[in-house]
Amino acid sequence: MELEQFYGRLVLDRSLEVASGWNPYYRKLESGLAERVSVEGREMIDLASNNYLGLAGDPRVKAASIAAVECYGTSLCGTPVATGSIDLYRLVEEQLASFVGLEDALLLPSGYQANTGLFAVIAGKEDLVVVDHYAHSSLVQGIRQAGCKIRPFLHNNLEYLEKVLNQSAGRYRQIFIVTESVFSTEGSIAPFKEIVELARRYEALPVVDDSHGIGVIGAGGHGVLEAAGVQDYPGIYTASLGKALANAGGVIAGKRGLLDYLRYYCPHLVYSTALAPAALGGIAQVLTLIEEEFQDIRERLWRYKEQLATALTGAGFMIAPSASAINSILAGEAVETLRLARRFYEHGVLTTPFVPPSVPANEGRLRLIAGAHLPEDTMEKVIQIIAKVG
Amino acid sequence: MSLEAKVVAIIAANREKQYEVTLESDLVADLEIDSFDKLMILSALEDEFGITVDEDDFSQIKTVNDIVTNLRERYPEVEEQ
Repeated sequence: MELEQFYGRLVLDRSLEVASGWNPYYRKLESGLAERVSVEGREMIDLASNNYLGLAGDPRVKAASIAAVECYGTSLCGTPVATGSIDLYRLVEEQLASFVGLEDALLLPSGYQANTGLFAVIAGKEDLVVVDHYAHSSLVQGIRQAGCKIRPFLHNNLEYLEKVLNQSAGRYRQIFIVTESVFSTEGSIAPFKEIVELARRYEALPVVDDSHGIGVIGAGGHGVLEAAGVQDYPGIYTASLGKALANAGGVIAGKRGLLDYLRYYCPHLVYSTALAPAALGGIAQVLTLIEEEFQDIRERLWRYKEQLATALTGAGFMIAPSASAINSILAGEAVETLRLARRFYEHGVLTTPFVPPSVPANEGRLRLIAGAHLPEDTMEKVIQIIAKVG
Repeated sequence: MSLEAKVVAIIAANREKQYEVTLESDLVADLEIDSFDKLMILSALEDEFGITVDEDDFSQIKTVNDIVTNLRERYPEVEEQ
């Protein structure tokens, strides 16, 4: 009887799927990310993945991953403190640190673990974390699990943030200000230079998650610090390596002393198998390609973004103001959001629907990202489809 | 300003969108407040009244008026602010 109660409590609520007649999640892909993707037997256009630069299927990146596997095998079957710390692992850490312009970097198995692992070490019950209201789940979960005081601030609202800092100064061991660079559900960008200035003024420590910024924003694609023109960044930087960088893993970057500490005290790192050689080889190659080819890639990425925005508004959709490569349709209620995703799907376009708790109630978003690898004729096709769906 | 008016004003000032906030407003149905929003509002109440609230004390609230009632019962000093 007790086990029945346990399993009875953990039954998936399918009411949204029933109401919308559609479940967009866990659709089965039978291909990698190319000009077309194969989804459950259909050829489709991918506007759902975070393959911003289109490098996930790049032959040079694939070759680098294969070469790493040839050299090191599929896994080092150990954590970074043991057998996982191969020369390529350390090389990629150094390459990433240099790429974002910080002293040192640390690789973790995922962006989620980078954020949750970071706060598990740096924050405690004597501390305050002031975090953007729309921050990613990994940041919020990490902060909550740290047991510190948490205070959300209105999204990108500097006046609100300063008021909180002013009222909190001197009451905590350490105050952290936490934000994302690019907010993933709608593409808004944090006023990060101003946030860093506020942090300096109130002796708070800034933490930024640049998962949707690294490889995308900044004149050279180096992410938020470059884009915001932040020099001598005093805080902590995290990012996923599975979006524009087209591989897997997460990174924490910042001051060398802190990262040396994390190398021994971050359980999410110390007790996880090290990032696999295939990902390490791929990341190294992607970083090199960004340095060499970003200007060309960026031109296509932003042109496609603008083409999508024009097509969407022309078709009557309301889209979120976006300063990034993301376009998000303001889709309203969760049921309507899924129905809209279904209409795109039926016309051969994969999109990403966001419903609560990923977004506030009745503020569903349908996100579309056109990767820079898509050919011009595919974009023309997308624009035709948008006109039909709208 | 009465306690009721202060609470209404604080809730309105801590929402991303504009809502018509009244004492009768249902926090979820009318104001679309989730757990993270509630945390932001409780923190703002702490700042306004110089109190430290226990989130658990506000786990059962449904309406704006419930917040007012809860504050009066558990933190009587708020009336003097």
